[in-house]
Amino acid sequence: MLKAVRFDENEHKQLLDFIEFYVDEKGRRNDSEAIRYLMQKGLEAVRNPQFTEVNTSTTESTVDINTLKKEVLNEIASLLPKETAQPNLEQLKQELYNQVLSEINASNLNSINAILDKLSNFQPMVVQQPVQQTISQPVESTPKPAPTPVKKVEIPADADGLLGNILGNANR
Amino acid sequence: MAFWDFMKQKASNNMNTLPLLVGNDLGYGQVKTVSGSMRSRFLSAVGTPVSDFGRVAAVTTEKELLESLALTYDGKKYYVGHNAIVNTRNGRLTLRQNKAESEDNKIKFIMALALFTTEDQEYAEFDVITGLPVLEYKNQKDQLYNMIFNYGRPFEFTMHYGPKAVKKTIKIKNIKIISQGEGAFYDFVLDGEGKLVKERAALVGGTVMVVDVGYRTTDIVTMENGRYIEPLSNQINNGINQVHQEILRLIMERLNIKKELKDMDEIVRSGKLFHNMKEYNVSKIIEDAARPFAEDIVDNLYTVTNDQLGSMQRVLLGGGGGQIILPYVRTLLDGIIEVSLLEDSEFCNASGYYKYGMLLKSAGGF
Repeated sequence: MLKAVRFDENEHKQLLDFIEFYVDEKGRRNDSEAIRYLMQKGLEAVRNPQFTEVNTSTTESTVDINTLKKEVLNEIASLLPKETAQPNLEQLKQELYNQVLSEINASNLNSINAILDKLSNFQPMVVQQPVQQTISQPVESTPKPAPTPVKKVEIPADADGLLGNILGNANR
Repeated sequence: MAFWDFMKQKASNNMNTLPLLVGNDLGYGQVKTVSGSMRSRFLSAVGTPVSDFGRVAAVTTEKELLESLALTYDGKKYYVGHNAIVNTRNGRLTLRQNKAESEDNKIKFIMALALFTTEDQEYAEFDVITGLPVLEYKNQKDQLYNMIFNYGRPFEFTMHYGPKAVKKTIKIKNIKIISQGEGAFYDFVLDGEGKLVKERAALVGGTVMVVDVGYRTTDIVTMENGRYIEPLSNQINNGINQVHQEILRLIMERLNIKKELKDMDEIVRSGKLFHNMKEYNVSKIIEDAARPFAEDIVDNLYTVTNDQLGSMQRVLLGGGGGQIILPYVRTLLDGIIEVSLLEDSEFCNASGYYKYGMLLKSAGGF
């Protein structure tokens, strides 16, 4: 019989982690399959990791993550030489910092300080962009030649029809 | 008078009055220039020599000069006319539409004016009248004006008279551009002073159609008592070059001789062809090529006039191709309209431009 359970983040952390990190046979996270698995196997499968089976459809052996972690750490530890001292991370950091600092002379420090000052006092400059005018007509690729200057021909009053017409042709 | 004799006379009499009025017909077949009784003509071809094959002997005659035309402009040497055809790889006749945008046309224009300077003359000024095909007139006249006027700057170049190089500066003072057939009409009705020829005035008092048969285009211009009638004017994009091409084909077909377009001008003028030590009479071939072209032009005349060609006063034939098609046009229009060939039809446009310039000068419009 199913019983309604109120999930508590701390109390059911192991269960939630199981669902969250469950991966199916194709290596994808699959919450629904995890829940289905839990419904089949019960909460005991989560509480007692030695019974935890991932992807029961496959023939892979049971994996206990904590056991595996311990085994890997032991393996790494056995590879390290016994006499090698464990590095102190904080000490390494301090040494590196001192080394970098010693290479930066006073002038460089001044210039870095100046840059830092500038950055702290930086005011963004707003540049006024020219407003692009709306082009109502297509722009011609070649400049239009200057129009031919036409000197108007005065047609004499006494010019006969033929001569007047001929002179008039010059004004077109 | 040939320009060579005139220029010699001009040089000896110190007649360098400025500026000189010239009518310039920047044709696709020939470039013709007229100033008074002085006229020059050269093949409309420009080429750039790879190696300098220029004339090495001094130029002593007009023929020698016209066969060795060369100038240097903007640091580049150009061969012009016959010299371009013979001594360059890229010298050829071109049928490109835009006269104004072509560098070659600028070179032809400069050369045309340079021929109107004496050999040692270093500076000259010109008033120029020239023309454009009827339908290209409106769109291209401003461009052509700018090309000729050169934005007010003089043309500076070196003219090569054989081995002698003379630096020259030419300044264009005034320019007038009209449509091509108009020039032929003015040549008919005006005299050399730009005055009306009274006997001819009566012949053009009605509506006259001028057919200017050029190398690339044939222009049809209608003049009503001297007034240009735009709706009845037209431009046919067929010129005498099509006749030349047909003659080429027929020569190959009937005589099995391969000639080139550049040879056609001489063959058509003489009616003869010399090949493999034999002279052939090609009059029949020319006739067979010209007749369909003439029929096409007559058809266009009917179209332009809306089949009212019979109500016009006369047809004036001009241009370099006028002479060739005259007999066929006369036959086709026999009993419909009188057809006249303009005197010296090849030069009629250039001559008409000059005469019109004289008229405009006298009327203060130039």
